[in-house]
Amino acid sequence: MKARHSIIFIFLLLLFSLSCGKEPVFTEMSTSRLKIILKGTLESEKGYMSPFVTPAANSTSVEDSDHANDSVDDIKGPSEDVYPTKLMLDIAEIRLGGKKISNYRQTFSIALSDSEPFFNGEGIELKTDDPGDGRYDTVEIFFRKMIFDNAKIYKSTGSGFVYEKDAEVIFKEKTVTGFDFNQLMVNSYWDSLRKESDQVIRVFPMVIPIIGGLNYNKENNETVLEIRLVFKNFIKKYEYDYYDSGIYKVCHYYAPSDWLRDVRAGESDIGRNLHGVAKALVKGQTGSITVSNPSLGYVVAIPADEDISDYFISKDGKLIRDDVKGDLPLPPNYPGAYISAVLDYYLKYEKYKNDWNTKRADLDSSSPAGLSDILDKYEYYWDVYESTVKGTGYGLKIPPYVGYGTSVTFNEMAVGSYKFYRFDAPAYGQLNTSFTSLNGGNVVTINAGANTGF
Amino acid sequence: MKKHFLSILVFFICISACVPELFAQSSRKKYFSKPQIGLWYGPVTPIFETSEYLKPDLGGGVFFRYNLPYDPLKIGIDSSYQSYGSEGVNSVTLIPLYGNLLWLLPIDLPIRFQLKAGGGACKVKMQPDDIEQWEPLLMLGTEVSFPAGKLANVALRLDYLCIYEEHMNGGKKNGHFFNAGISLYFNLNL
Repeated sequence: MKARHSIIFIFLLLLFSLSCGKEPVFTEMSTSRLKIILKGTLESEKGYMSPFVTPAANSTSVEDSDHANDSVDDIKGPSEDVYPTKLMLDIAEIRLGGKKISNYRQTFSIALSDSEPFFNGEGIELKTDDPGDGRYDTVEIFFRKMIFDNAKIYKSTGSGFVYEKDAEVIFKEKTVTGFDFNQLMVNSYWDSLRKESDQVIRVFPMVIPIIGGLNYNKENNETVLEIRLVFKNFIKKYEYDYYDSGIYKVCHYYAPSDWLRDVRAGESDIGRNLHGVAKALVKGQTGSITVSNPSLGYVVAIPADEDISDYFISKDGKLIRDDVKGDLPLPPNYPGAYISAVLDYYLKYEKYKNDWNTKRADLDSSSPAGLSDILDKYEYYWDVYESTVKGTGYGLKIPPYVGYGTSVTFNEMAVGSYKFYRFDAPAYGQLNTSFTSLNGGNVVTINAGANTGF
Repeated sequence: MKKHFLSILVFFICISACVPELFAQSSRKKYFSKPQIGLWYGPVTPIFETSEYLKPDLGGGVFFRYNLPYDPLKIGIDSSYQSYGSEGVNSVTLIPLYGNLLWLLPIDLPIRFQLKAGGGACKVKMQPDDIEQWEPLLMLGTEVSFPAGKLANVALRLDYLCIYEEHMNGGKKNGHFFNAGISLYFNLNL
C-alpha cells in the first residue's frame, strides 16, 4: 500500500514540476498591447489637417453640375436638400490578415466637425483583443451600417417631384433619420456585370492594406494600428430610385465621393469609392521629421520600396469612364402591378432599347487592340477601365503619412526608408491625380528619435 | 441547449438513484471507505480578476479516490474539461489534472462532508493566439455527499482552482476558477 501511495505522490509532484508553460495566458488576456485608431481623414498628422469644408447641399461640388451623367438626375437641386451633419458607423467585427481580433459591436455617431477626434487627426479607439505574433498585411473591418443623416425622399407627381419626408433607418436599435449607404457599397458598375454582384458588398469586410505591414510581437511595447478612411471633404450626393406601391420615388442621400468610380444616372452601386489605408507603429521605434512644402498643400511619405503610381490616377474617374465604349445603359426597374407605373416603365424600356443600340453600334465600330469580336471588345474596354481605376488588388492606395501645410512635421514615423512627395489641395470631393517629388526624389532614412528635415 | 439537457439528465439520474437510500443506515460508512471512481458535471465559472475577461460555461470531469491507512483521509486524482469564451475573440480551454487529499469531517450524519486540497497541472489552451501549455495548478474544495445504496454516492462538489502563472517571466496574474458540480461516484471492491 505504501508503495502505491508513494507512486501517486511522486506522479503528482512530477506533474506540478513539469508544468513548464512559458507564456502567461491570463496576463496576456488582461493586457492590450495593440491599439487600433480609426480616423476619417486623408491626413494622418494631427495639427496638419486641411479644414472641414461644408458646402451647400446643392453646390456643384456636392451635386455634379453635369446632371446628365450623374447619379442625381431626376430631381436637381431641390431646396429641401441639406448637407449632412452626422456620420453613423456600426462595426461588427475586425480581422487582421483574416484572423479575428475583435467581435465587439461598436457604434459611433460622429458630427461632421473639426472638433471631432475622428476628423481632427486624434482618431477614435476601437476595442480589440491582441493578435498572435506574426506579420499582417491587411486589416478587415466589417461595417454593418454606414449612415449620413439628412437623406430626403421625393415622390413623383407625374409632372415633377415633391418632397415627402426624411429617410429613416435603424441605427443602434433606434430609428434615426438618414440613409444606410452600406447596402449599396457594391463595386460600382463593374460588379453589377457579374452574377454574384449582390453578394459583393465591398465593406463587409472592407479590406484595408497596411502599408509597410504590421509585424506584431508581444515582446514589443504598445503597437498602434492607425486606420484612415477618407470621409472628410469627400462626401457627395447621390440619388436612389425606387418604386413604392407603384409611385416612383427618389431618395437623395450622401456617401463617399464617386471621384474614382463614377456613378451615373439610374445606377445604385457606389462601392469601392471609400478609400482606406492603415499603418502600424511600435512605440519607441518611431522617428520624427519636419518637411518644408514649397506651397500650401499636402506632403506625403510612402515606403521607399513602394511605387508612387499606385497612389494616384492620371485623371478623374468620370473621364476614365467616358473612355469605355462598352458602357451600356441600365434597364429600368419593373415597378410592379400598377397600371400607370407599368405604362411608364414601358416608355422607359423603349428609350433603354434605343440607347442600348446606339451604344452597341458605337462599340461595334471601334477596334481596340485590333479586336474584331464585339464581346472581346466589351471585355477589353472594361478591363482597361478596371486597371486604370486601380481595381486589382486593394484598389487605389492612400499614402500612409499625409500632412497639410507649408511645413509638415511627421511626429511618429515607423523607422525605415521613405520617399516624400507633395501635391496641391484638390477640389472638394476629389483626391490627387499627380505627385511632385520632394528632396530631389532621394530616399530619406528615418531613425528612432528626431531626424534632420529638409 | 444540449448542455442544459445533459445537466438535467445527470441531475435526474443522480436523484432517482439515491432517493430510496436517502435515509440509509449509518453502516453505509464502510462502503464509503472503499476506493471510488466517479464523474461530475456542472457550471464552471471564472472568478476574481479572471471573470473580467472570460465568461462562465458548463464543464465536467472524472475522478478516482483511494483509501489511506488513516480512515478519514483519502487521496484522489481529478481531471476535467472546461472551456471558456469571452466577450471578444479570446477563448480558453482548461484540462486540469491534479491530485488531492480528502478529509472526511467527523460528523455522524448520513450526509458526509469532505474538505479537499491538492495540486497538479493544467493544460491551458488559448485561442486565437494558439498557445497550448501545461501550467501548475492548486485547488481547494468541499464536497457534500450521501450514499445511494451500496454501490453509488451522490455529491455536490464545490472547487476553487488557481492556475499559477506569476512565476513566469512577465506573468502578473493567475487564473481563478470556481467549479460547482453534481457528481455520481461508485464504491469499488479493490
